[in-house]
Amino acid sequence: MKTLHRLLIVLALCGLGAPGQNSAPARAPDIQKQFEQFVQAIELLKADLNKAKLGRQTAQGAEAIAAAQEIVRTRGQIAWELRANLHLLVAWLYRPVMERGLLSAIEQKQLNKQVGASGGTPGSTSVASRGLAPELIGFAVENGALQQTVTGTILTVRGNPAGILTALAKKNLVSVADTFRPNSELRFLKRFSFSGTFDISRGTEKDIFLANRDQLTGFSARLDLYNHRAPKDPKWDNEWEAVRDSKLAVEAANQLASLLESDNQFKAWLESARNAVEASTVTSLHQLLEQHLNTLRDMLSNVPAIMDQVRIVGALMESYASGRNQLIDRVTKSAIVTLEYNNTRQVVQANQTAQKPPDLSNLKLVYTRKFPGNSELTANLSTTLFDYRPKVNGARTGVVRDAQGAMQFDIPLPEIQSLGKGTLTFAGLVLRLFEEPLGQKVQVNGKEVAAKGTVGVAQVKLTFPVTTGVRIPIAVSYATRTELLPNNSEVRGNIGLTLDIDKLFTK
Amino acid sequence: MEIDLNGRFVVCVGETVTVTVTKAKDDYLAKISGIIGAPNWRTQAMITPLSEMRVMDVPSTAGTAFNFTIRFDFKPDAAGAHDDTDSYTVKISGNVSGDAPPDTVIPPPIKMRDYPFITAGKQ
Repeated sequence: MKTLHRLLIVLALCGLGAPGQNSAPARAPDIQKQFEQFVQAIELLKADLNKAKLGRQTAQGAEAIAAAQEIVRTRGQIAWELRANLHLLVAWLYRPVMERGLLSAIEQKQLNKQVGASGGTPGSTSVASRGLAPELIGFAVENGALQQTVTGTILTVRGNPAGILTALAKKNLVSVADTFRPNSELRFLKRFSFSGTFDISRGTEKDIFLANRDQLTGFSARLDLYNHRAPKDPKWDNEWEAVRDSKLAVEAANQLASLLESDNQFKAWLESARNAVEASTVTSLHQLLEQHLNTLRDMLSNVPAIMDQVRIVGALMESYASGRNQLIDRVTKSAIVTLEYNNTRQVVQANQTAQKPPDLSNLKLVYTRKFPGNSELTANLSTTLFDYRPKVNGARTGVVRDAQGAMQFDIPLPEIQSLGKGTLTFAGLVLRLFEEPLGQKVQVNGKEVAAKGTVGVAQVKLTFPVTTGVRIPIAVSYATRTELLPNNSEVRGNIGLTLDIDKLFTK
Repeated sequence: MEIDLNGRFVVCVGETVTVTVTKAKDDYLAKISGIIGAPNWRTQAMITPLSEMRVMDVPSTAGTAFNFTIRFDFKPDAAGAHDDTDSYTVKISGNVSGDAPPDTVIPPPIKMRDYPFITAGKQ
C-alpha cells in the first residue's frame, strides 16, 4: 500500500502530464476507497473463479459443464471489472481529482452547532447563541469560569424529537435523513429541538449528574424558521438536477473508453492483467493490481491520442466535481433563521429570606450565514421577560427585564500541528437592562450586571478540537461597563470543554 | 448475456438491449452517455424518480464494438457523509442474449463505469 499512497500523493500534487487547469484539491482518501472497492470486486470474482475451477475438477456431466460455463463467465467479469472503472483509470493516468472531498468533512467543520449552554447562561463561554441544534442528541458540559462569581458545572442536554424517534428505531443519522426526505410530517418535526440545562453542583449529591428537578436550571425549545443546509433538502433539487444533467465529462469518458477498445496495447494489458489475477496465488490482490495499473500508465504514456483524451476527461471530471462542490458549499453556507425560547428556573438562595424570584423567559431570534473561507456570521436579537411582575419596594416591576443584540463571527483556522484545526471567534454584545435583575443576575461573561442601563461586550475566542467531538474554547472578553471594577471596564478569560455526540456517531 | 475475455458484453446482431439504472435511495444522480459505435438510444425515460430505462438497437454487423458510460453520483447527507447502504444497480438485458450480471455501484462518488459491447455473429 505504500506504493499506492506515494502514487496518490504524487498524482495529487503534480498530476501526470496534466495541464494547469484550475482544479479542486485532490482527495486521495476517496480515490483510495474507490481503489479498495475495485480490488475487493476483483478479489470476489477471483474467489468465484477458484470455486468454479475446483467444481470443474470434481463435477461430472451437467455439473461439469455448468462449472466450465461459470469459469468463462467469471473470467469475462474479471476482464470487465479491470476496464470498467474509468474514474480509476483516469486517476492513475491523470490525477486523482474526482471530488474535493468536502462532503465527509462537513460535520467536523460545521460551526453552527451550539452544543454548550445558550449564550449568557452562567458558565457559558459563548456570547452569541447559534442555530441548527444537533440532529440526534447533543449534550455539553461547560466549565464556565475561572472565578468564583460563576460557579457550578452546567450540563446541557439538547435533542431533536424527530431525530430521537428515528434513532429509537435503531437507525443511524444517514437513515434519519432518508426517513425525513419523503415524509413532510417528520421533516416538520425535525425543525424543532429542545434542551434542558442542569447544574450538577445543585441538589443533595453535588457534582453528580442526577437530572432531577433540583438540578434543572432551565429548558429551551428551538424552531428552525428557515434552514436548508442539508444537501438532500428539496429546495436544492433543481440545482442538483442541473449538476446531474451536465454530460461533457461522461461523454468524454465514453470517448476514452472507445479509444481504449481500439488500442492494441490496452488489449494486451487487459489480457495480461486478467491472466495475472487468475494465476495469482495470493489472497490480496492490492499489489498486483497496483503494479498492473502502473504498467498501463507507462504503456499509454506513449500513446498521444489516448493521453490527450485522458487529460480532457480529467479536466472535465474536475470541472464536474467543482460545480458539484460549489453547490454543496452554497448549501452548507445558506442562511439559517431560528427562534429560540429559554426558560430559567429561579431558586431562592440559601442565604436569602426573600420570596422566590420570578422565572425568566427569554425569546431569541438567531440568524446565521456562512461566507467564503467557511467563516460564519451569527446574529441574535433577544429579550428576557419576568414570568410575573413581583413587587419591589411596593411597586410592581415591568415585564421586560432586558433586551440584547449580539453578533459573532467564526473563522476556521488552518491546521496547527498537534492542536488540529481551531476556530477564531469575534463576538460583540449590547445589553440594555430595563429592570433590576431579580434572583439570577444578568451575566456578562460571568460578571453580574445589576444596575439599569446599557453595557457592551466584545469577545475573542479560540476553540481547538481535542479529539473527535470534543473541543476546548478559550475566550478573552472586554466589557464597557461593570459595577465590579472601578474603571468601568474588564478583561476576562474563560476556558471550557464541549462534547458533541453527533460527531462521535458519525465516525 | 455472456462477457468475453476482453470484458465486453456479447450481444446478438439486431437484437434489442434494455439498460435499467435504479438507485436504491433518494436521489437519482446518474448520467448515461450516448452510444459510440452504434446508433444512439432508441428510447430513454425515467420510469420512476429513481429508475431510468434506455433501449438500444444492436447493429446488424457481426463483430461491431460499441459502448456507453455511466457517471454515478451520490448526494451527501447533512453531516457530509454518504450512506453506505445506498447504491445504483445497472441491469442490462438483451431480448435474445438474455441478462448480464447486475452491476452494483456504491459510494463514494464520483464514479464512471464503462459498458463495452461486441456483436456476436449469430441471431
